[in-house]
Amino acid sequence: MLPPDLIRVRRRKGVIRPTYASDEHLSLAKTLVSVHEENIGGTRGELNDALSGCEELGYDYKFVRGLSAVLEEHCVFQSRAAVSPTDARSSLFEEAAEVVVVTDEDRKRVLTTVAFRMGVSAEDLEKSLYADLYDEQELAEFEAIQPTDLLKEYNFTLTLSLLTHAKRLELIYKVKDEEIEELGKKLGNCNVSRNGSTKMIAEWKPTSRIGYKASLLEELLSRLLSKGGWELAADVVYPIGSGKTYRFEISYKLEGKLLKPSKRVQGFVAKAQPKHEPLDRPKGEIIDVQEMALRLGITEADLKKMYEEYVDLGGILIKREKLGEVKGALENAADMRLEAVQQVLKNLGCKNPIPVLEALGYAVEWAKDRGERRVYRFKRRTSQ
Amino acid sequence: MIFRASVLIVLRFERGSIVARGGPIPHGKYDANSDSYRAPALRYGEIIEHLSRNEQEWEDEVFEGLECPRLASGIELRDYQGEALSAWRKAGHHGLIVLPTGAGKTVVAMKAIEELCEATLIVVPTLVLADQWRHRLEEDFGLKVGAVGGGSRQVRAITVATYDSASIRADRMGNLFKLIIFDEVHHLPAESYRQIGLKYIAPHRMGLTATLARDDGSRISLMELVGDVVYEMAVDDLAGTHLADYTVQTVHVPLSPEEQREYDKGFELYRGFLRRRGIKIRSARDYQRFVMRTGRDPEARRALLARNRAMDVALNSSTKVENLKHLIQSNPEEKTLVFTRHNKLVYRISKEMFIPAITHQTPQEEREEILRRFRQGRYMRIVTSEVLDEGVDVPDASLAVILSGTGSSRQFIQRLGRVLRKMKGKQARLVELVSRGTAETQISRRRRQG
Repeated sequence: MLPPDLIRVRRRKGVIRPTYASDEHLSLAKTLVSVHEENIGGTRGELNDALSGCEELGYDYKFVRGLSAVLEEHCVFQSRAAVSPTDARSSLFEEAAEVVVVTDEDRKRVLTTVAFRMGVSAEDLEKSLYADLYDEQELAEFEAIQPTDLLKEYNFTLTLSLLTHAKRLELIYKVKDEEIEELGKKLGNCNVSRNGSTKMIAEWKPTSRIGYKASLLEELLSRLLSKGGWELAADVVYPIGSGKTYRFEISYKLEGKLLKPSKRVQGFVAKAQPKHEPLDRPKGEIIDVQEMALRLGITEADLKKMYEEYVDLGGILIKREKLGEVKGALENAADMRLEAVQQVLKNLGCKNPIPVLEALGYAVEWAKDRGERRVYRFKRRTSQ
Repeated sequence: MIFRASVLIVLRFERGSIVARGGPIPHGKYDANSDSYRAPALRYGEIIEHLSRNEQEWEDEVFEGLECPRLASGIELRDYQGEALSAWRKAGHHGLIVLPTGAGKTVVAMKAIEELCEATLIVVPTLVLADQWRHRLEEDFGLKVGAVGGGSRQVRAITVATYDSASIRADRMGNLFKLIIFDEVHHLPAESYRQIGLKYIAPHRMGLTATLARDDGSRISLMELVGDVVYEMAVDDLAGTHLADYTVQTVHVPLSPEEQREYDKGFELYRGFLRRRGIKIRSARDYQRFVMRTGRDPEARRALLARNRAMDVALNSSTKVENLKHLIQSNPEEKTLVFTRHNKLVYRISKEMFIPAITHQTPQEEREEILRRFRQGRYMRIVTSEVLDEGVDVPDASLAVILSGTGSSRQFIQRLGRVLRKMKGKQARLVELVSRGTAETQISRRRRQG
């Protein structure tokens, strides 16, 4: 999903339209894909610098950043630490305090001495020094994507991001799919009527449980795109807090070909298909149950069985040893700015920090000014 | 507590307001739904004073804090600290005390707490500062001090809270203290923190800072929330006596030829755009307008990015790093703090010279360990961006190097303050490295002019 400030829309006479990507943006899409490919093995910081350069190609920077956000879903980042970065720093700084490190020779001498003592190569020690920083994570893998698909995935994400600001949704569809109705019920107050085609109206409070609503809408939209024959209209409150409501309309006939869900969410469509063989369990120390279940096309209960040695925090599965690490890192999180806490969790390899925070008994106080958003601790709901 | 007179007014605290039932109160607005008068908690002192003066009968159910035990610290004030406290006392236990970093503002506040002996809240901007205050209070007063913020919610007769926590919990904690001390009070006028000033009843208020904002809005706000400036001293008033003697040196360093080309290219693109569009940047407001324009105008955005890139080159130039190396090499025994504007440069220096770095990304435990080792002399240098600018107690650094910073005189004075603590025979030095012939020279001039 795109952050609110990257949503590109046109508003006119009470109607809101997303500014979709089209074939004229293929060249930019190609460039961004190749920037990612060229940066495999580099750090996140280097990748971001290269992507910033692309903001000067003459396109709307929000669009460039939006495409980059979609591409991030295709990346796997990992830490480059061979030894604990904290230990590496402590040892190196202590050694370097004895001398003044000015020349390359001084530097090499200190590095070699400490590396020998720690039983690693000088190169590994150097790589480990700040490997716990977000910007120092290595782009280990990048899943290739066709530029046309990137544009469609962007359009899908843009649509979804706008729909998360909705408070009412009207859907007319021809296919029979009970899941769609189920999703409508989960979204809020839902009325369904049938007269040849099915008409579903769902209403909800636009500010409550946005992350959860987004995942439901993502599933709904993906399911609709896989079936066809639908029209959707929504009352969207945008920007957040403005109180202004706009009408947003979209149909399979007009926009269906412009949109494509990312691979991550395509999995759920296969849910009804027979399972042939046991799935390989994806690696990871922190698992978002809903997201991973969707990705693998299995139920949440099945997913939990796959990771039964993990601690279940309610929506998040986490390795026991990682839990200690995360709790330690969050010790002083209450009242910190959200961005700083997100950074801490991302440094620990947590891709999506907010559900993890919530699962651990923290909440986010959303402010209009992003920099003012804070994390606070609420009374624990579970015994965890 | 019931006071004698004809009509009974009952005062209560409700979510940051004083609510009076039974009659009007000063600053009170009538609320027909609850048939009561509501005034901001800030006005509590005035309300009580007014009711007493008019021999009005009232029942005060506002304060629900703890009794403060008798305090004895053995703190002895220096002459100017005594003058500051006395001025605050004369002003009716209200007002702002402006003293340079290292001049002992904490001590003045502690003496005020001891003297008043009332439930006290100390509000500080960072968790590190909160810890420092708590340790100092516990050590000197020999009692347990409460902490609100960073996961703690322990309220005691004397409590230390961060601005964030004090603001979030104002509705619940507003009636628990009679004295409130705002450390680094220049933060208080910020929109979200103003609530602390408004929603706490504390009739006694002290604001501490090394640098007061020059803009009228902030000053008026502070006067309303805390009181007027009751005592003010500048660095130069105390240098050589209570603070270390110091020198400030600005060194203009050239960019490397390659950096110069990049800087010129970026700035020319920016200036060219402004020229073509007939845009004149004469004030911060003009610049803000230009930045807003970049959201809808790709060419303006390109110009902005080119300017930012040029400024990056000027602020983080490689010649500055080389100069820093020479500076450190020729002063190996000096405890040195290196300040930058951007974290990127912090980490570059840390990686190149193996100097411990402190930024907002440094875990708290590691930050404390670095500062501890620095105090012990196990580390001689620290490189940091802005997190050590204020508050953090770094007792015996003698050389500060500003590689880059903002145009804020407050930041400059605070960075200078990091090396001003008096020690026998200490001659403090602040060296700022500025890229010659770039827009950074104006930034440097602005911050030094104050």
